[in-house]
Amino acid sequence: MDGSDNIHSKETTRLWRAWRTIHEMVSDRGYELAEEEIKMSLDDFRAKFCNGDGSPDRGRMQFSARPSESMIKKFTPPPTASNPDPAPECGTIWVEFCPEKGSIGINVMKKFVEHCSNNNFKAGILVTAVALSSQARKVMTVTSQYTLIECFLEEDLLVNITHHELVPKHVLLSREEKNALLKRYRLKETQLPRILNKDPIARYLGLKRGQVVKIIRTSETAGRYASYRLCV
Amino acid sequence: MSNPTADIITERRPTPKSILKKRPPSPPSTPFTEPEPITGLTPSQATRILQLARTELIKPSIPLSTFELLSSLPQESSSAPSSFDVSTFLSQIKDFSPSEYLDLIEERNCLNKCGYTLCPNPKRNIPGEFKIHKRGVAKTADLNKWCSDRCAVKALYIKVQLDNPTYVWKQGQMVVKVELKEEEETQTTTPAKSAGEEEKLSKDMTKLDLNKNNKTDEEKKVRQMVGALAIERNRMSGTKVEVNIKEKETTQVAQAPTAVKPEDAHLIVEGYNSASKGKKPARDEDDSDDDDDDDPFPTVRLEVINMGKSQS
Repeated sequence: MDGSDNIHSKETTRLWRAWRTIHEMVSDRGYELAEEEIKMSLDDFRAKFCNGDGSPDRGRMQFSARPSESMIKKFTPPPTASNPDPAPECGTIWVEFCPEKGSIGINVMKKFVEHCSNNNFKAGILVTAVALSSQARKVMTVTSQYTLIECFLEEDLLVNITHHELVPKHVLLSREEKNALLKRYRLKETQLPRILNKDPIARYLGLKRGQVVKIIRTSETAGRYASYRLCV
Repeated sequence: MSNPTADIITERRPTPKSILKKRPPSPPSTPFTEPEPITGLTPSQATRILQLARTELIKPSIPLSTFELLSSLPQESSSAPSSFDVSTFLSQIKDFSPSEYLDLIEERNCLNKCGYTLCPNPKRNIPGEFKIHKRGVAKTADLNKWCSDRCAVKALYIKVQLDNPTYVWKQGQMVVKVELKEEEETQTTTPAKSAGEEEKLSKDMTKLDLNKNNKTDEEKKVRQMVGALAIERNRMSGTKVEVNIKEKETTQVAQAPTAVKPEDAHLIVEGYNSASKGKKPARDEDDSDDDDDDDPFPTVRLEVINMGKSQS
């Protein structure tokens, strides 16, 4: 095997793993994805996204997903007198791999945000090979009121962290479930234990400030043990 | 602290002796009030002060559009920046904080431009992680921010002014004074000057006719002596060889050998660049077809190499 071919195959494998993890992530968040989309084999991936010389083409690696029924239900705020038919707070998600290899500046980020808002995506995930510049990160946070933009590094997606044996199961609570929890334990929001916004699991699940996540651990004495954390 | 249940117990039984240390009686508990603020401000006052600080005292961060504007400069790709570019740059840069200026450099590098805002060149691309530089070892990541060392100096000159700002009064406001580094006169003017001088010198040299002016008496004497010596030597050896000494025509002034890049000077050993390993000098490259060297079968060997390549 040639040296250059080897480099491409290594890169392709890495991209394939990131591609798989991002699909698992999107599906774990509650979006609809077909099984064969999530569990694409390396050969299929190569056939679909590689150029003639074996190098992967990131420009073609993109997909969108619609939220499932249960997700829409979870993200719809309870109806009130003034707003009897509230709109769900989630929508179609757009995932794109960034072909840029040097460094990612304002213009690349702006293009992505524009694409998301023009096509009415409620959320967008940009997977990059290199880190963003600090101003590009600012673009991401400034526009996040309209569409939720997230960025992941390829190297962070090589393994799915939720599949690790030491990572307990995290379940996002809906607004009603959160209120029921606070009522049951007579708590104020701030009295819950906290989880940081930038925590890897919080990033995986796309937690926003104020959302509560239920953590289910196995316990030797109790079988299962649930704890709750508020995202800050 | 007295406790209602404790009171009931004392009525029934003899008082149990406490094992705890006796404490002075605690002051009567007061109903819950707002905690006394340390600064002597009520919460509403504190909020107002914070709001004031946020709106007026803290400098707002630079808008993204400014970054985009400055990373698109200069508009014309000429060597000298236009006065419009300079004035835009200077008027915008005075509001920058040092870290925001570094962000601007990063942003320009993202567009593959030199980090100095008024430079139209692309940034340089030195391979590897470290590089031996004039003042020691430098990270290539730092060197690759600029197109040249001169641009680095100019850009960091601005950074220093933002780090330690000098304020001037302008229309009733304190404004950071920022100025560009002055172009070094010698660097810009010497090439033109020296080119002119060189031409003149070479003309003078060509005008100089060595044969006309050197027929002074002393030289005649020297020639006679040399001639006598040659005759004597010829007698000794017995053979006569005709030697014609010709002056080469002078077309230009001899130039001192220079390194290709001044930053590579440390790699050069007696004119040989050790960095270009295995690379032959340019004149040797088209030597492959003339056969006046000692090697008997150069062409045959080449064919063998080519055959080996085509087979694999």
